[in-house]
Amino acid sequence: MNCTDAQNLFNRYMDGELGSKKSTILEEHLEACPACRESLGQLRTLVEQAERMPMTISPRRDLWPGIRNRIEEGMAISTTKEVGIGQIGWPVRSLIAAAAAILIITASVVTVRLFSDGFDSLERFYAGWNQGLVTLAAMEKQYLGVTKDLIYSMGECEDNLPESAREIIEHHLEIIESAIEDSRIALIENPSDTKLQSMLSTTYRQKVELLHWTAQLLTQL
Amino acid sequence: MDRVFALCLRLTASEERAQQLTQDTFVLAWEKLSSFRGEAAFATWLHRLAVNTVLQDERARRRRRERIVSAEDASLIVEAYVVPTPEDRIDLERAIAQLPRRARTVFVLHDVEGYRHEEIAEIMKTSIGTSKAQLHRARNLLRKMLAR
Repeated sequence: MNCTDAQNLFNRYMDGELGSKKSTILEEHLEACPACRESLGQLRTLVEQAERMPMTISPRRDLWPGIRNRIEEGMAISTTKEVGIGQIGWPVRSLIAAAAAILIITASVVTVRLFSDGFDSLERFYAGWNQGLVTLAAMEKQYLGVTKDLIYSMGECEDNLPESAREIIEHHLEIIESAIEDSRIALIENPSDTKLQSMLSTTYRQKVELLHWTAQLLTQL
Repeated sequence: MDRVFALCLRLTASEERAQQLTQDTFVLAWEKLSSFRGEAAFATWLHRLAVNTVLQDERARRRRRERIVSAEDASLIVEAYVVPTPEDRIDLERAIAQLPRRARTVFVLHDVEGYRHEEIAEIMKTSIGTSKAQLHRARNLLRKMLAR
């Protein structure tokens, strides 16, 4: 084996994709060739450096206002198309705030996995949601059960939450609850509006996700 | 937000596009929230959405024959974002930004983000063999750039 042949095999060798026979031949070459040993070492260092690269970089400007504006514009457009923006009292702003809140929280805690514990009611809640089988009334019933379970499970551990985290969570819970209330009021006026029903069930889900995230966080403290 | 932005910045090597695509990702996340299935972590879902958003944007730009970004631009942009950090990481960020687009995409997804070749092939609508070939090409180019 010459150096060119050896270097052509480095990547597969490093990724464990080279058979044992070829690996042995390559290793024999490496023992005898300092230049190839150095090249392979450089490749290994490169891959290790790549694995250690920081997973987050902060943008130099705040991108949230743009996101919020675009969501708001998008909802205004879809509202105008479907029912006419002036016809009903859409709880648009509070729903947007709730959406932004849940996106901010979930996106900023990338290492905390959601949905991995064993609440039966929670599993039913998501199963019903994912299959699109439940009516809004059924979802409301499940939502109440799930939130009760989650709050109960958080129980005494809640005192372990750092004050700053507690404030953030309570603040976002308030926003989401306000969105739920606004949606319900809008639904009283337009009970058959499917878009509103969908928005309300989405907001229920956001609250469940936030509570679930908090419960998960508490188990890791 | 910072996780999505880092991904977009490395995939595009363009600050302006990374900002735009980060915003696109979150707007899309809001629009598609109801399609999010509970069995995956939200962060994983959002991450995949960001990758798809970047790749779709690149396909659209190629259709419009737009200039995407030059290596010189990319180098300056990445340099601006990664200080202060150890010198070897600045070099690596700069070198990644100078890779050819497809090689850069595969390297970022595989070696930085930990995707498997099967996933990359699916996302990029290509074969596993092509994904591996692009990764090897990227690593070899990077090794040469960093050894200078």
